[in-house]
Amino acid sequence: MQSLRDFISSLGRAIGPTIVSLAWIIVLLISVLIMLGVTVLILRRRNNVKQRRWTRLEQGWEPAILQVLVGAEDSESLWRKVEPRDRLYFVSFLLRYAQRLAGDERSKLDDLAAPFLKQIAARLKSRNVERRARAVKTLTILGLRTHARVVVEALDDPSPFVAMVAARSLANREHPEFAMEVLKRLHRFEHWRPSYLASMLASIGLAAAPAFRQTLADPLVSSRSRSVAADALLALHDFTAVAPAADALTTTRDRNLLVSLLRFLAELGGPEQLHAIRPHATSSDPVVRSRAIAALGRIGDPADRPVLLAAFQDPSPWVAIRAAEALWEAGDTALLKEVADSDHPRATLARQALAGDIT
Amino acid sequence: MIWAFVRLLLGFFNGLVLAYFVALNGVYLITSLRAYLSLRRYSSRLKALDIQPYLKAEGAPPMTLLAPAYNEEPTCVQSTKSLLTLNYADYEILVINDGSKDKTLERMKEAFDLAPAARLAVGDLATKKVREVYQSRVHHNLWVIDKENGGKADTLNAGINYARTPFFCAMDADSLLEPEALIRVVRPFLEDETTIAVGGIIRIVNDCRVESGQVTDVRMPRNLLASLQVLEYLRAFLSGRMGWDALDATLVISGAFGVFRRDLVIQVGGYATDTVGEDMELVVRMHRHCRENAIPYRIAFVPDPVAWTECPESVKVLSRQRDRWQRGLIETLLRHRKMLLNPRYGRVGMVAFPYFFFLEMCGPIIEFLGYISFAVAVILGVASKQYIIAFLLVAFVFGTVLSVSAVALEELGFRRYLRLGDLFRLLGLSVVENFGYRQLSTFWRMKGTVSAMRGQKGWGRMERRGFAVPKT
Repeated sequence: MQSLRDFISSLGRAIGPTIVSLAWIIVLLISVLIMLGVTVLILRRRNNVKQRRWTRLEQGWEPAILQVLVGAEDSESLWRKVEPRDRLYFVSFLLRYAQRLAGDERSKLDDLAAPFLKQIAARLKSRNVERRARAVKTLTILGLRTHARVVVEALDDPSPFVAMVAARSLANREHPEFAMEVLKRLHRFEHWRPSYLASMLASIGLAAAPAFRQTLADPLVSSRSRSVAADALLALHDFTAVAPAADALTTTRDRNLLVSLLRFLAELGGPEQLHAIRPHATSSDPVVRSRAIAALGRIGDPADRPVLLAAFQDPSPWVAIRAAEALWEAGDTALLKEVADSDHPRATLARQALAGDIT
Repeated sequence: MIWAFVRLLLGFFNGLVLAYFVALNGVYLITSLRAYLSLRRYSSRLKALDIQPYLKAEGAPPMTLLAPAYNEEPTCVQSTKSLLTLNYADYEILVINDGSKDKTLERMKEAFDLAPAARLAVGDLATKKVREVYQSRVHHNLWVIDKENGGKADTLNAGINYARTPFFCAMDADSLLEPEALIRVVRPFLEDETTIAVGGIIRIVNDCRVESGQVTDVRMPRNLLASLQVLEYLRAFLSGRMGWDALDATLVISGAFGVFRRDLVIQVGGYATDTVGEDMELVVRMHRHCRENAIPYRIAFVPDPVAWTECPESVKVLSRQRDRWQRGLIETLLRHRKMLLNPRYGRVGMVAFPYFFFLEMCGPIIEFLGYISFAVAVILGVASKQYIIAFLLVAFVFGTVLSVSAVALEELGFRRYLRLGDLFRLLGLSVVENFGYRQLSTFWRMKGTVSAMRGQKGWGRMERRGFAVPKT
């Protein structure tokens, strides 16, 4: 280092101070370059070593876990095999393992994780969002019995991401008791796509349907939440929600809610709901109109035929597609056949419907 | 007198070249640092998420894959097979044959048992005439639209017209999507309803082992040009696009793999058919449309969904490709020059657009002439020692540092190249590319700039080699 400094200083005396600065910068950059290159190689080596070590640990733990699960060995003997520095990794191994088990075996696995969960729960106080999120996920899967309160509290975490991980973890068939907690916080996920939220809620199962119905029927709840509730109820095939859905259809003007309700009634409704659906078949909004036509196609009666025939020639292709689908499903193919053989602008659609390729 | 003027001119130009290199590498440095922070966060976020719930039919939106094909005979069947194996609940594949002169359509007919079928076009974007629509008898979600030749943008527009889902994925017919690519690229749409477009990463498939349409063994290409492009792609996607995404100023989504909200694309008029840079032009137009109409929106880049694509291995084809990319860039930037340094367009107008305008569009000319003037100045003995060192510093050493950091990002986040030899090769190429390849690339881009100024159109021909299959 001294000789390098001497060399650059003598160079400096010869060619001026600016060039010395530049030369230093070059030396610095080349050092950075070498450091980066070495970092890449160290990263590779570290990753390889880590991978080998984890594989070795897993190969040691897996048979021991199986022994515990079948009752041939007690938990304590396994815990003794887990060194303090491997505890977090042991928990993440259990986390992956948990997804393959159910019932009693799952319960035993939770017991195996229990002594280490305090360390995980402490991570909920971390300033790192992703660390908190991972802690929430781990506690929900392996320690909901003992850590339910903190997981529910995570629904109010300042980070919407952590809140979503909590909601996603709580929304499962085994714990319908948390449905309302999740539902009450739907406003926190206002940027998320409603279809995703509905799918998440539906994964709780029919036990949560009363809570969803309550949300759907409440005009004081936001239209977005009601629309998500309607989609979740549809996924659950909840026929009990048909009446509140029809009521909501007559009172709301929100486009997304209208679309959800019409989709719901098209699948689960009956002739009693036609009075609520029919006015929307002439809506000025083609999206609402197309959904109403689809619903009339599914549950309508012969009185709706003129509406469907007119809709087949609707300027919106989406409305026409729904009408064609409805006519084909109703076996009303006379018009379709006539149009299919002509040079009518909807001839392709008619042929498509007749081939059964419309949906 | 003249000599003094020449010296003054050379001095001024050399100063400009230095400023250009400092600015260019400075931006790269900023995007690399942002990319590093972003990648770290992204990787830990992925660990906290389960990808499986996203795969549920009710949660993930239906999707249409648009694969425009023009003379893709060697790769079209393999690529389509890869699309059929995607791990996604509800999707349709529309392969759009853009009047291929080879046997693309015949190969597809044979391989997938295609039969003529009726299908209504629900969009009204103007395109060349569609000759016939086919549906596979074996895979009912596979359709082939045969149309008259009209170029890639026209072909994609035809596909959009036939797409019936809220989102479509635009890609190249010769690209291979990884099985989970679609669900991963869709995630930003689920997490933020205002998302209108998302791009994934493009990786080079040359010399990788491909089995049943899937890349099973990732390796560096044997061909030097292709290897250099691997490094270029890593730098462009991991340091560049990841960094721009962190700055919320994504201006480019590669035409080889991007997902778009269909209604918005139709609203802005679809792909522009009068430019060769239709992918960038569409993204810029979407930015502009949303900003001008006060529509909340997000255009994102995600680094884990991967599309594998074949890159050129000959100088001739590569030069044509770079020429075209540069023309596309210039056409787009000039068409939307209103956005330049215009605060109305936020970070896109104030940061990303000026970067592309001054450094990417004008850059090749400055850089190319910079190399010449540097050589002239050195030969004539008018270059100061300070200048020579500074030039070497910003033109070579800084560039190498940035390339090595891209390799570091790859190692940190993805580790696709598992062979130690491949890693050493990438590191070596980070140095080697600065001596010859970079200058060549600058030359091609400069030629592209000249072609754009002369109003030259057209794509040029891409030669396909086909994917490497395991030896039996």
